[in-house]
Amino acid sequence: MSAHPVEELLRIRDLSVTFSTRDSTVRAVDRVSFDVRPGEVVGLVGESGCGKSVTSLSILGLHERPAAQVTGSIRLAERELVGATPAQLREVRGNRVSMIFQDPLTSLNPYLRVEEQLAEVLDLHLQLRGQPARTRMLEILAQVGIPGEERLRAYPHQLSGGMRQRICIAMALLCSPELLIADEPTTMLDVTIQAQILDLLRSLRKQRNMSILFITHDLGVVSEICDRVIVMYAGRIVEQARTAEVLQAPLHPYTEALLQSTPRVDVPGGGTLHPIGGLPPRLSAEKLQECAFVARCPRAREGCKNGEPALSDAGGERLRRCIVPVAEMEATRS
Amino acid sequence: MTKSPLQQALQRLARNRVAVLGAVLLALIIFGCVLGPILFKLDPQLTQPALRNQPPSVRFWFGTDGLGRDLLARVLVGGRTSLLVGLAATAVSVIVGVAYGAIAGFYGGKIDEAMMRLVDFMYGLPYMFLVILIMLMFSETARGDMLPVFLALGLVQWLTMARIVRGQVLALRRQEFVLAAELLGFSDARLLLRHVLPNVLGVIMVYATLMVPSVIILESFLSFLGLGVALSWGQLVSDGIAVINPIRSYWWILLWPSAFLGTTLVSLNFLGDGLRDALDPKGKP
Repeated sequence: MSAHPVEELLRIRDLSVTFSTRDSTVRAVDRVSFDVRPGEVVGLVGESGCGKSVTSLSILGLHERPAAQVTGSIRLAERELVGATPAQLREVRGNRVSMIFQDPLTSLNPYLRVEEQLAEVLDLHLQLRGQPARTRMLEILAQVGIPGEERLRAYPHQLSGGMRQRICIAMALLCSPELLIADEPTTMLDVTIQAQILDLLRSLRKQRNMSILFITHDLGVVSEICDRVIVMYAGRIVEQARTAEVLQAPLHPYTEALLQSTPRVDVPGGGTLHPIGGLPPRLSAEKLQECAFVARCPRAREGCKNGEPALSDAGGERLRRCIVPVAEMEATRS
Repeated sequence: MTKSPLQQALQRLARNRVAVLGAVLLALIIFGCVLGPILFKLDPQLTQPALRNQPPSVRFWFGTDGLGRDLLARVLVGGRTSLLVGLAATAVSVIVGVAYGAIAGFYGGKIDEAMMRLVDFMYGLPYMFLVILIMLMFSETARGDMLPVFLALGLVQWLTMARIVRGQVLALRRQEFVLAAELLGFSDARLLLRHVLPNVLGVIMVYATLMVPSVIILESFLSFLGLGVALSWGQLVSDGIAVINPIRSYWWILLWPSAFLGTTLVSLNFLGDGLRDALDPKGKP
């Protein structure tokens, strides 16, 4: 990394999201802090229910109050987003921060032509109408690899899954956002289309110097696109490091376990898959008395039950939330 | 040229013979009721004491009633009332019900809770009593005016519409494309009008089509009870039943209005069913 201090685009500090239901409170995100720099692709990784999506939705202020209480700070460049008014949020959404979703089948309005859906966004944020809007739409479609005008006239049901995801990306990019949040954008696509979409995101990021917050549970995808990885477990960050470091030398047993449960085709014999036994803990608002992963951790020991480990510096830009010595983890890497 | 989902649905509707039959019959009846009295210069109120209770003939196609009034004229003019009441009261209830249900479903939570409890409460009231009450309230100021009928029937019928729309909107609100639209920065009004409601349009159309006959029959029922304000099919059926007796039956006085009423109701139901099938092709085997 460069020696100069880098201005962050997105700066999240102590973000907690608590949902109150009639009979319980659930803390889905617990004191999460991280940054996304301009032009950087950050992967947010973890199994289902670990708080990835909740974190990303808080950036766009999409939690319903009073059911969800969001505390902490989310700054987009100079602007604070926690506690922003609906009008301020609308100004940011689609314009400076965009999002693409997992399922391209359901994230387009079935009753509107592609053209109508794109035009609406241009009209809202850039006040672009008529011929200039059309030119811009064709330009952006060409960028996401959809040539020709006839696709503009199409309804979503007339397009393939990969094509629809490209339309979603095009729609998200119309206003040249500084940050793109991609919530498992390739999970519902088959492998070849997945590779195409990742290629597309990579080249778009290079062209536009756009930051991407990439949410996924697929470490294979992470290795292809992310600069840095944040591993979440039970609403907390358990490890944070550059992609290559995390994938080659994980410093948290959970990351290690995630890697071992990922199928690999590049290892002769395919390697053996090791599923992680058990389930994540219930996420309550109370302070944990032990490490959140202790019940499922193959490296668990006495000390793990004495309060939750703090997120500590592990050298370089690495952070980890574990008391097992780094040397021990490195010595016994399988 | 690619077709919108709505255009495709209409094409499917056009292939449904029963629905087309319903639409054609309905068109004929509407055409007849609207233009018939003008073309034939018919007067439904002209009494001809010398021509009382005439059976159908070349001069009086449908016969005459006990006061010598031309039954054809009365059935056609009465049809205007019945159809107008059906359409207008349905329009009232669609507007009120859709707006109410959409807002409740869209905002959910406490707003939804409060709004839907009011609907539940109104469901609990005996609707006939409510209709009679509303009509009595207006009858002093607007005698002979049909507005109170529209309002009374519309205000009773909107409840079910509100519930249906609310349920649909509630489900759609959490669909990804609505979420996606919200994340693109659209205002609530825009989300609701452009992204949510068009997707409920099919259901609204089907339900409105099926609501028209139920309003017509409700109005006929009111007229039958003597609570109607104008000449309508219900009133004519009531007249017809009054003259049915074992000694001499003037069957035509009952037959024509009943036939028109029945045909209209059946046609509307055919059309409504056809629309439902056309808009939801998956629901059909």
